[in-house]
Amino acid sequence: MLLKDSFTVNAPPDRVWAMLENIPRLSQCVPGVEAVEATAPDTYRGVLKVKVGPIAAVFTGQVYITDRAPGERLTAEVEGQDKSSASLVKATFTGTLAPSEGGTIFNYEMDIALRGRLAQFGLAVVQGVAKNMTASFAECLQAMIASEPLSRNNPTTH
Amino acid sequence: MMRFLQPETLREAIDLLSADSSSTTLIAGGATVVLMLQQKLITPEVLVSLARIPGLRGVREDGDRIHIGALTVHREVEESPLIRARYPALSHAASVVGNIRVRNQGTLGGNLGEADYASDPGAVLMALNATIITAGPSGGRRIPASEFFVGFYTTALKEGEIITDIEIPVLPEGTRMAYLKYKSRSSEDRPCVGVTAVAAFANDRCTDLRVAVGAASEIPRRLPKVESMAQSQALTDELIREIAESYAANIDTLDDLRGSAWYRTQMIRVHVRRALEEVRHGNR
Amino acid sequence: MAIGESLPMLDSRERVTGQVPYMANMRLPGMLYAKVLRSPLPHAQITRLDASAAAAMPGVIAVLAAADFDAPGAPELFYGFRLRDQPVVAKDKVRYVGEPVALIAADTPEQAEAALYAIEVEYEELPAIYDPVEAVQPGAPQLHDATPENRMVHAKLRHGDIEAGFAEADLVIEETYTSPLAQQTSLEPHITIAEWKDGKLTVWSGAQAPFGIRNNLAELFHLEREQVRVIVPPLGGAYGGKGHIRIEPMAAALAWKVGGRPVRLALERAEEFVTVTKHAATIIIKTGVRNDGTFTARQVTTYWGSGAYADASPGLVPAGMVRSVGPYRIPNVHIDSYGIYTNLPPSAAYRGAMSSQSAWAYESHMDTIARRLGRDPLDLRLQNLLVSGDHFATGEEMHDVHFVECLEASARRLGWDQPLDRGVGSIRRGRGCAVMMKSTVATSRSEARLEIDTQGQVTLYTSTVEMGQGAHTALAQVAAASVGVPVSSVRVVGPDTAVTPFDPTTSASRSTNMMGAAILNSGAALKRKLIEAAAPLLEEPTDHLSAADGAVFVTASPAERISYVDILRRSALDKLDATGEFSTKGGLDPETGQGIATPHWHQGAGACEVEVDIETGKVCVTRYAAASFAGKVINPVLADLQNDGNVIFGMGPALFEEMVIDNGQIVNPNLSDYMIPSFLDVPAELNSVLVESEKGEFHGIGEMTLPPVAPAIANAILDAVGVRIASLPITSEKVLRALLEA
Repeated sequence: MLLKDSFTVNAPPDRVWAMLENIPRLSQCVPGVEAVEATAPDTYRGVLKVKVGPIAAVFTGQVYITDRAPGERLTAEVEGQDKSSASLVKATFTGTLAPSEGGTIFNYEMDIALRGRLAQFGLAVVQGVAKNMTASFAECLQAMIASEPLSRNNPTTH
Repeated sequence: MMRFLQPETLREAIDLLSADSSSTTLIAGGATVVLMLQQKLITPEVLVSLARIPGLRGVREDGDRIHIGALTVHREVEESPLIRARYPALSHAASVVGNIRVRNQGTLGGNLGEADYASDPGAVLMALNATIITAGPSGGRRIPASEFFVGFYTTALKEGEIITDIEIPVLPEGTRMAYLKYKSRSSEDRPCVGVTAVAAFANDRCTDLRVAVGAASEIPRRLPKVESMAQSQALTDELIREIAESYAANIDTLDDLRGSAWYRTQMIRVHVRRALEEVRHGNR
Repeated sequence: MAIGESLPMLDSRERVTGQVPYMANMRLPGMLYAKVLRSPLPHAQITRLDASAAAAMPGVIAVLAAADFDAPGAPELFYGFRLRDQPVVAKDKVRYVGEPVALIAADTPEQAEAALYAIEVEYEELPAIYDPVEAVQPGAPQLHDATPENRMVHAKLRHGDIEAGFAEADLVIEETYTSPLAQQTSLEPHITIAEWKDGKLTVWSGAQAPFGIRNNLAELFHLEREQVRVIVPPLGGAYGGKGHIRIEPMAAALAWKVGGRPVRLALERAEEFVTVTKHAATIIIKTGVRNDGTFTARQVTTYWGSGAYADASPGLVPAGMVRSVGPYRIPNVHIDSYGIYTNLPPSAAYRGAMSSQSAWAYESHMDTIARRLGRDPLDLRLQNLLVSGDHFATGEEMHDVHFVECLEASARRLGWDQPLDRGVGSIRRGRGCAVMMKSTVATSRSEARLEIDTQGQVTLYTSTVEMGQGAHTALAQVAAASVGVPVSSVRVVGPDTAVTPFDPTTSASRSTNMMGAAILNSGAALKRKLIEAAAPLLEEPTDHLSAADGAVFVTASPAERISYVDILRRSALDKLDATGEFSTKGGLDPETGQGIATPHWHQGAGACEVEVDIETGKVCVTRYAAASFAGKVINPVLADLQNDGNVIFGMGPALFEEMVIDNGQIVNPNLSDYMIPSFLDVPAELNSVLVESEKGEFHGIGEMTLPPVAPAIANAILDAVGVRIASLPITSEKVLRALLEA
């Protein structure tokens, strides 16, 4: 299934980009994400806990940054599995940044293949959960940027 | 191995639920819990049945309020003379939940606690300004139906809390109501969209209008600002269309097997209009 | 008179009191429970499989994976009805989400289930393909090394000169119709119990083809056919989904590994969805027609999405080819029918097999043609329908065909000529009709045995499977009539390959016809034996004697008689028995599709009235009349119920049934999200017509009125609101979108 969403951050693209480059830190903004660590260049391992009412899943998996155009676009592959529900998730993420009236529009597209028992849960719920996570993420990212000192030359990590 | 416990008092049930709420699931009629167990979407260690707790079932009148026990099955809600007389839309909604097997087994409290978006009673209770009464480790609470649903399968219930009662205020004489369940597929499908309209009139002018739309979005929705458009107005075709249009425009609809977000928006427009036409003309 | 009598089903009391011995209730002493570990990916290499931890789990008796098949004396890994391409458990590669990868047998189902999670499997995902048209394009992922472009089967029909035919036409219309994967949805899932004893394999299974499964299992386990015994109790529905070998190899191989205790494998509903499906189809149909309504040419290209393994497709795709032409006089016909591998669960028979998809296309297409010509759709059909003596596209002469009578009967019952209230407000009404032809198995043979004892009890031994359709009741009526005893004296012994005589399959609506004829022959043979035994007792030569009404009598002097019971008693016989058979031959040339497609044609029609809510797109079928050709009706009530059942069954795929796939994963594998019709969906007025002929042959009627349902509804929608929906199911949303775009 294909998810598309966008949000606006009150900061110019280069500052947003600097945030995006720090995956472990950024991941703190995704609700339910824990223990993210780099295991190789552009490869991260982590845990995502999702709870929808009585149904809980703990996905363990990896994120691989597959392509980047600094300040503009980031592509990543995500894969994870939840043992207890025998479910697998695989996703291709593409995020693009574009300047807009002093801020940045962040557009993303996520092509998700969810397989196993959780897939029965349905499009509506997965989309809804993703939407809520996006909203929290956007809010958190905004707060994180606001709390940063206004240095234009944030070191970027590669 | 999953344990099945059948406490005989509410206190006992609350204690069991509070002991380890993450691995404990409450079961009332079991209409949905058993399905989820079979699909292995949930794997609780403990199932706590409410069936043996006295006093949780039945419909009774209490002054200017009607109480429905949480363990009252849909079929009883449908057939209760009190509900039929006072809240025909709720009786009708209960009569179209799932199928007859579900209605004889599933309970109103269980249905609310599950908070499946694709369901009938929630939106009706919201439009009736019902209150969900709970018992919990730190006492009871009264939660307005409009604040009860929080998200997909998620309610305002706190850890260890159990729904005991649904309380509905008695409406003034002359209040009319309708529940329209729109099924896009089989006749026993869940709703694609469910619309409840409740309207009170004085001299053909609307003194109170409530419209709740269920099954179209994450939680049932009422739009008080739009409802207030009808205040002191006659429900003309034009006004009805305007209200229907506003509901269609302001509810963020979802996609599922019963229809796309686009389709649900169309169905909100059609069914809000039809529900309002119905309350303008008569009762249900 | 046993024939033509509306008797209740023989076991109707047992049915309503829960006493039918379904597979679901069967337990054997010491029985183990099997569970299946299934692939989570649509296409992948298996890079590692380690079941050692699972094998050590409590209660686990055996674990079976592909490596077990390498052991000396092990069974074959690959099985199949015709093409043995399907592994019992995946070896090296998985090809669809849900494909079996390993099996566990344990003391309890819970222990087996728990052990599944302890099996470690690692995969390397491969690109996958789901759409049959995309699967034949260059560069598409290939499922099987031996099958380039994923074309598993290609069936062809070449009749006349297709180009010349189109050139002669005044109008050429081409359309594409699609039909999605769907479920047979029998109430009872697939269940098999397998037991090995003394080198012999016994299998109890809810299956439609006991002998076919016996033969397939014998090959798989390197046994003589007689060393395999297949026993089939009454089924809780099948609808084609149990038509071929399916879960039996898993249960039998696991039992082989266990080596003694019986093993029970019972699928859960979600597993049903990944075990067998109705073929998805994309059908491109092009017809040339003259202004006077006569046809000049038809070309049909069908891509059957067959799933990851051949299963029944090597037989069904060629059958689907014949079934895609339509029952019309068309001088030039060109058909290509492709069975295509895709990364989805295997497809097989589905009530109205291949005709449901084909008739959806050619009967919807028919109304498009009628509209373009400005003709009444019923009238245009009647002008072109095949009648006895015409030649079909296969070159064979049509005999005993009554398409015209069927279609006219359903239209008349609906009131096609009556004025129609077109509706008010948001409701619009319309009418539609459709007709279909279906072949049965061309070359096949059925045997039956009848036995009479000294109590006058007649026992029918038949391998026809009772699956709720009432076959045993109808066959008992035939047996009673053929021997000349009341139906109450007949008992039926059902399929057990060690006891009942040969019959290949209870499918393709062949049983009433084929088994019915075999029983008539065995009844005649039994009567001859009774007459031979009576001759010395009546002191008359056999050619002076007749048998009827439980007695042999002198033809010229019927009062001189001796009852069957007395014949046996006075001849000191415990019993007399006789076997009868019936067989048919046919077949088509693989290059031209010319020859004999079927010994007789299945014929059905339907006409309906629908209401369309133009504000929601919701379609309500308010009236339906279904007619099938029954030849000679054995049991009118049961026959009518088949007609009715077909219509209700057919409304599902017409209006809402669809397996929804996301990246190879079925997202609605349960009966809450996958919708089948409820009784509330049954048309307020549902009529059944049974068309009979003087020839008096018994015809199967279990499928005939199903394929017309979807096109009849679609045509009625077209009539009501002027929109044509070309993809099944016809959802409310599709109709609304089409209305808004129109």
